Amino acid sequence: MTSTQWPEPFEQILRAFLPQLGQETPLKNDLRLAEHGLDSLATVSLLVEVEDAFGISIPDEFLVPDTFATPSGLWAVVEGLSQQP
Amino acid sequence: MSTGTEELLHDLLDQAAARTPHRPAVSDDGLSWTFAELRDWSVRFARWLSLKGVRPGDRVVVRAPNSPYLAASVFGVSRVGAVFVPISPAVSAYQFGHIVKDADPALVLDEGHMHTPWTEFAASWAKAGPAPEGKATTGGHAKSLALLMYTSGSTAMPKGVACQHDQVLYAVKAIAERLSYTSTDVIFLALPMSFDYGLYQLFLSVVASAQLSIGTVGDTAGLLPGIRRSGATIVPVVPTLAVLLVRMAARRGVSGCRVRLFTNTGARLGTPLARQLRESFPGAAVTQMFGITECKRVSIGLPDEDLIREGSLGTALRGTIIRVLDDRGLPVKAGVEGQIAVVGPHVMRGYWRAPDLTNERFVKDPVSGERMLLTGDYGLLDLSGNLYFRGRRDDIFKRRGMRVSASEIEAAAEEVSGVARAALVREGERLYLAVTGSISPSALLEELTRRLEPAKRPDACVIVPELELTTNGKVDRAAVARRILSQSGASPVGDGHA
Repeated sequence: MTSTQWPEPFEQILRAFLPQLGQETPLKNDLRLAEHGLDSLATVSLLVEVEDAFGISIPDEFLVPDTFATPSGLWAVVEGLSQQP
Repeated sequence: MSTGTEELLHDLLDQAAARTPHRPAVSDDGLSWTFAELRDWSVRFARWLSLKGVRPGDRVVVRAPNSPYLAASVFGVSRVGAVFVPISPAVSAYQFGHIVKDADPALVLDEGHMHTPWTEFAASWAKAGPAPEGKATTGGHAKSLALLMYTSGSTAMPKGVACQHDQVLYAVKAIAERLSYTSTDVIFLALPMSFDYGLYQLFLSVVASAQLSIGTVGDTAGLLPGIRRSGATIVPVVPTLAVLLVRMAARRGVSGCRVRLFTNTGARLGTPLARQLRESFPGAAVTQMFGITECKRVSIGLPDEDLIREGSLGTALRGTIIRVLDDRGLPVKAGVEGQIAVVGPHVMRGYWRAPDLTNERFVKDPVSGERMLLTGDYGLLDLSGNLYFRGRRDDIFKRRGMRVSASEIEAAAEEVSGVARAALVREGERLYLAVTGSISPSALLEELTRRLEPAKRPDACVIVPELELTTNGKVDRAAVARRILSQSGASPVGDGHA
């Protein structure tokens, strides 16, 4: 799986929260974020950074564990809320 | 319905089901049960346990995430006179193995191991048949064990605190009296029921016929939305949750939130954090409490009492006594620091199958001759009986000839603007302070120089994105130490004063 499905800034933000993921390791879309260093506290920081970077506010109903489980889960929400490409 | 001294844990539920059968009792994202339904499920579960051969006095280990089913299982175990042993799904396999061996249970219900969702598992209880009429019990009596609560030590293996029905019920009622939850309250539970602070929220809500709204433990992003959606009026927090709530509230606002009370125990909620919580949630008060599993709760303050008595953790529960003892084990005067000890009907039976440890901590009160619990925590009482915490025994150490408390240094750092949480790490004589927040190490060291005597000043500060936590949400100093010290080849930044 390549990571071309999301823009570079998204990948950069996410990688910063995954200390246990090697720099060269590709960010697969179904990677279990919790198993690679995203703890429950960091989730809120990630939320804040993603919202700021993409100029969005993720509504309450999307703030569920699934949204922060995998890169694709989070990107789906971010993409849905961002302007159409 | 039993009364008086023969009352058992599940009687609380039966009384609530008789009093308010149709009020909402417990809910999560998928389920919502009334008190009659919760009781019904607990009776089914009890029958299922009997079919499995569970007998009075047997231990039943349950490792499962919070859910209405878990709530029902607590009372179901009580109904058959067995002992409920809740274990966090977050414990390591190694620790889980140790606990199961130690508890020596008749039955282990391990959701993770069975790879079956708890809801699916619950379907098999339904097959245990309809709830029989009348009282479906038992074998337990007031002096038999209701709970075995494993507490996480920082280094040693968890040990089981054995809790009798009468002791648990005394604690529940004395706490309920002080906190005054009402039948219109909604309690939001973000703490695991394997942690006594979380489990007792279930008992307190049942006693008050209030509703327990269960959030997902560890779902930090969903915390504020959950509080909003559930209409929660009471939110028990540990400092970590408080920090998150303040951050989320600043970001997203609190419109629609109905919180009237935050309670805190388990770890110290510093004055600045209490203030920030109040500012973030207008109309909400903060009640500070102090307790350890061995007696459940030591003291409870009044709402927002910290505004009048900074650092106060409140006064002793009704019918209980707090003593502060010197090194010889004798009570000291008000205002003098010493070890906190507790006397009263809420002092639990002791440590499970550990007579030596039990005799060491559960001793005889030099004044009354009654059983007294040595908490291992240090603090003092003021003239009106308010308790102030100074540190745990393992937190207190000698440095440059002075008695120093890690908690005191952390508290001082958390008073500094820009610091969220702090954890002290010791490496021999050297002290490192790991903090989260937005401050530079040099600015923090400068502030601490103003606030602390030289012996208490850290040698260096390191700003970290997050602090490691235990499964109960407390700062895990040992884990923080491992990380900080593994990096200290390149010594922590901002090496301090000469």
